[in-house]
Amino acid sequence: MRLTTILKLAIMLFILCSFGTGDFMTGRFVSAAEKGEGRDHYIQVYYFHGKVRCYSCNMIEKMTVETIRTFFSEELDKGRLKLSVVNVSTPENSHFVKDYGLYSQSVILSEMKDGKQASWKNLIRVWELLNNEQKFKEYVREEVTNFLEKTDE
Amino acid sequence: MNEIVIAFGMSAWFGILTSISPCPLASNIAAVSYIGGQHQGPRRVLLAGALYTAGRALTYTLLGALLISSTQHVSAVANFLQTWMNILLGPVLILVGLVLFDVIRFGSFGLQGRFGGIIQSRIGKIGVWGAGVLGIVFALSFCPVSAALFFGSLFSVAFRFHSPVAMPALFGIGTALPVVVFAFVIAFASDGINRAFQGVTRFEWWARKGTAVIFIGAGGYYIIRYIFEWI
Repeated sequence: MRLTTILKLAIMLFILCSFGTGDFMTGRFVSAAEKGEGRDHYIQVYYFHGKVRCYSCNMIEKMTVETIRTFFSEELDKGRLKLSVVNVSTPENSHFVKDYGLYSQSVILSEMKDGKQASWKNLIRVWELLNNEQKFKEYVREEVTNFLEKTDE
Repeated sequence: MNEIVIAFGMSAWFGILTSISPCPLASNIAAVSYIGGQHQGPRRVLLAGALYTAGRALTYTLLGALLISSTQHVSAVANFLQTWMNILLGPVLILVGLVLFDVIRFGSFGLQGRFGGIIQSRIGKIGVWGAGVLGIVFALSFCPVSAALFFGSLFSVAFRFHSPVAMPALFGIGTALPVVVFAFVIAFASDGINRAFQGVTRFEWWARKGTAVIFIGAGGYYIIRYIFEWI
């Protein structure tokens, strides 16, 4: 066996061992989720906005973030729930407009399972309930709770 | 039965919610000043208000009839209207304001003589019909609130009750209602001032200039917000 071939094999073996952090040797691959670095089944909450922001849009963002942080701090810490505020007017995020058929600034719940989106929902009532903070937060809380139940299955 | 009555009520309510939200404030002020500025008597204000309402209702009805049955185009149409209509609206409002201010005359564009005179007199007569055009243009200029309540909330109700015409029309009436009510209040208040001072011609001159200033101001706001994106 030539020296270069031996070197290539050694490098490949090193890379594979790095992925498995030692468990590779026992034949069991430890995923990042199992190590607590992330989860395979979680709920992603998005608030999508564009370049032009309005008073009502900022209110929706503020109340959504407040609801998630107030009622779901434990789920956020454990990685069962993730929250992202995304500007869809940038080229790298513009695909979300097509992905979710966005027609305005929106709150979207997305169930992620094994790296793929299993289900999603646009919380369209946030615009109707905008002027009633209590009802708005109850609505978002209820919808997020329903989605989180999916991660228990 | 009750459910559909509630759904019709909700359609109008979504329209009212759109109208009273801060985002279409500039266009609402322009509409109030235009309708309320029809100072040839309450009947003219009533007619202008009705035409403005009809313009809005017609626009939403057409959009509803076209899009509720084929929802795959909703996102593209909504985003196109939100982007381009607001960019166009600024210069259009300023242009109308300049015409009302008599800064732009049709003679300036070489339309002099008999033909120019005909256009000028038609523009004078179009006053009340202009409210209908304004209703159509303002209805098409979607902001995030109106887009969410029309393409989201209203469409979901109209789709559920198979109502692609009546519910969008009610939404349109709802969006016009607060504007028309305000225009009436202003028209009757100014009618009182008019009578008190007995200076009809002078008052008409001020009302026209006031509407022109509001149009130019609203146009400037749209240009700053949607073309230059400074606010």
